Amino acid sequence: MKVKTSRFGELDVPRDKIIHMPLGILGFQNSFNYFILDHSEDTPFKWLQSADEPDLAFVIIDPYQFKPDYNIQVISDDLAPIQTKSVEDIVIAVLVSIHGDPRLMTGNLLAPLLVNYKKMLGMQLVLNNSNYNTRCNILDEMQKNRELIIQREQNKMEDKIREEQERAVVKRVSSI
Amino acid sequence: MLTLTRKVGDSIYIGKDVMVVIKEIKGKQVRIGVNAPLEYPVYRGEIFERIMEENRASAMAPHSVDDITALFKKNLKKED
Repeated sequence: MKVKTSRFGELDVPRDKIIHMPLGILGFQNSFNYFILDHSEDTPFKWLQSADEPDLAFVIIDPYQFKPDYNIQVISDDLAPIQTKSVEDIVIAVLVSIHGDPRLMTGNLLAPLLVNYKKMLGMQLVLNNSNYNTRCNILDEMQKNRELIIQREQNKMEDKIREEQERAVVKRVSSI
Repeated sequence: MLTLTRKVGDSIYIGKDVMVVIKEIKGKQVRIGVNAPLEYPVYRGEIFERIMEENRASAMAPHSVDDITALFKKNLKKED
């Protein structure tokens, strides 16, 4: 389908790439359909562009890129709007604010974006009982977690193997 | 604004789907229970306002993420 955007011109977006957000994003109650645009492969930032309002686009990022220990408690009722009970169907992103100065960019950890990629349904989940805030300074947080982030980058493969081994152990333990 | 006086255990219906119950009153604090369908998310007022405000700030996105990408990468390399 053809989608007009003010930043990227007119785009042809396959219908199966449209994320329907039945509750919209708070403050923007005229937009219920979005899609994710890669800026380039070489950046952790992506765009969440509205398919309903050409001007409306958000910069988003995978929170684990700067907050590797990000941990949200979700109950299955929370996920009802995106029709799943399993966190395995979900990818998480957070909205980024630049505040006029890129060095001050923040990620909204209090209200992450959850997308059920199997059904292409999304929602902004407001964490009612959480100590996270809406303005986590991304660069500062990265510095705090720098070693962990770098280590993760470098050991992605090793981590994968380790995870598989751990899973095997859990399986073995649970079968005892 | 509609203002009602209620006692502990009393409830209010908003439409036919949303029920609000006064559960406990302790000094200046009131515990409230809300029974609402899942498609009616319930927020604390101050959190709702903070999220709205932050979403509006996020929507003032630049036209390119080149600047923030460069900063992000530089930030990881620092102190190497």
